[in-house]
Amino acid sequence: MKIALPVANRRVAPRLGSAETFYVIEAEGQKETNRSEHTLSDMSPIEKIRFLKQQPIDVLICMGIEMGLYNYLAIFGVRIIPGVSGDVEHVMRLFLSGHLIPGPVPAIGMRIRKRGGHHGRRGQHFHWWVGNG
Amino acid sequence: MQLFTERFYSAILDSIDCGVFTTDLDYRITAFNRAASLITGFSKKEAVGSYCYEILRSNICQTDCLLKKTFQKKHAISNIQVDILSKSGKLVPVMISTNLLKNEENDIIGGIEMFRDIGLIEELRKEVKKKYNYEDIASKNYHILKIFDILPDIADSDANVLIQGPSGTGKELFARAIHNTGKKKDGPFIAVNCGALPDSLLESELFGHEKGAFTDALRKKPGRFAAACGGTIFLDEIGDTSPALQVKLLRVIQEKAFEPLGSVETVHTDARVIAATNKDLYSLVQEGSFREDLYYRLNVIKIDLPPLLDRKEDIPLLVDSFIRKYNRLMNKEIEGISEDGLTVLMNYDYPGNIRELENIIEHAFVMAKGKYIDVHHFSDDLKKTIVQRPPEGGLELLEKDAIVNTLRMFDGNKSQTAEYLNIDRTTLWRKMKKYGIA
Repeated sequence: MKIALPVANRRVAPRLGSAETFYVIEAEGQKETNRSEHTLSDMSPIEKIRFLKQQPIDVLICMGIEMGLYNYLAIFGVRIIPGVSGDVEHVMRLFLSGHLIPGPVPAIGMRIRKRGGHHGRRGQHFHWWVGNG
Repeated sequence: MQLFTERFYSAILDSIDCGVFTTDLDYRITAFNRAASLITGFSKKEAVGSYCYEILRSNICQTDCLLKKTFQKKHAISNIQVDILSKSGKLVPVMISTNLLKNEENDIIGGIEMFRDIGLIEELRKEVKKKYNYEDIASKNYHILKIFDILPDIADSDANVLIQGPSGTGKELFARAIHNTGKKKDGPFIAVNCGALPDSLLESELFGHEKGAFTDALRKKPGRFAAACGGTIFLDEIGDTSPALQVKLLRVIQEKAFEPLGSVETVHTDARVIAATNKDLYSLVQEGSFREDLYYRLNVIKIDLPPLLDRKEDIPLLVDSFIRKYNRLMNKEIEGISEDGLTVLMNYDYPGNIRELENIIEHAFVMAKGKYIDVHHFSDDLKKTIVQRPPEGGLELLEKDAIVNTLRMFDGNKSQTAEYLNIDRTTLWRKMKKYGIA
């Protein structure tokens, strides 16, 4: 399995499209087997995610991700774990041990007013028509 | 007393219209006002204690931090335009200013950052300059994202492009995105609607004319091909051109040269040609009304845009985008749409495609007085279609479609599907059983 993370100052970079450095980590089971560092500072956001897609990566762990880039990677089968902050090594340990908790996925900002007066929350997921009920 | 002072300052901060936060010297947020919450999408609770760059997430946070510069140079920085990434994944253009925060002894104890949402200005600027790029193409449709995947390669090449799709599917938006990210982005983008002008006028419009070339040619005029030198010429409705004009277009595309009307001098052009049509050009070739050689010259790269009917999963995204646009343009504060209203929009066929959806939202904006768009804000024509053809299956059908499409997207992988749809795997399993999805 190949995992990519945008990195800044040894922490998960706050924004995928603006990140300059990426780790591509190979893992087998719970063990990291290889790691490479890539400087993509000259690339546009779309070029960066195309680079990641070409690796090819299976998982992307990131903090903020532009909605367009999220849709693009998701449609090509990359598992995205957004909303993750903190020290990269700690994040990787949590991920490999299966304890990493993802944040919210990019969402549309408008509200959907439910029948009966219940209001959707701002920023609710854009897959609004699929509820848990 | 201290509590009173804190509340007092907090009330002042919250009453300010622009986003304000303060940090300590380690860039950790110490105060965060209400406007900052509205612009970034992060609550005060989430923001306070976090690193500012993990909340603001601007395009320069990692490379050219303004607060860091302020600390280093010990002076304020004013009105720098950047874009920030909101919690929901949207890019928000803002104007940022920074300053030092000092205590009573004049020691620097942190920084203060103020930012204004300039989305309206940027929206208008984009509307005027038409500087659209990939980020302006909102979609989660598989076919559109496949096109999205090859757009950078198309933009990098100089090859001619043929964009086919029904009216209102965004052909010009794609053409502009290719131009604005390609090698000729600094050159002009010249759009010509070949279906809007009679043949003789179109020829003079495209190739220009000499003084006296025809009765009304009072002075020499360069054509659109000459104007597009170093850039891109977008030939919309190319399928409507006459056989005579097709011959001339073939020559300019083949030889990159043409003669203006009434001139014997050859003019050279390096303009990239992007053509578009709402017709099936190959059928026109087979019927004999479109030249086969011109078709193959234009059809080096072909992009087929699906009608909105085939990408209904994009309707909520597009509605959201239009609501934001018209809130800015009409100075309104519409928060969203009612479930019934969205169901109507999801069940409509959109013969006019995205342009028609935008018109529907614009109409509803004029009519809506409250916070939400509802069915009664739609035009009578649209309401008539609801009466004629009531939604079949309603939200349940949409839910089923969403599940089927997402399963297809992830090759049947249920874990990824459940994660993408933000539901539990067991909920997905239950819904698949309910809708009879194998």
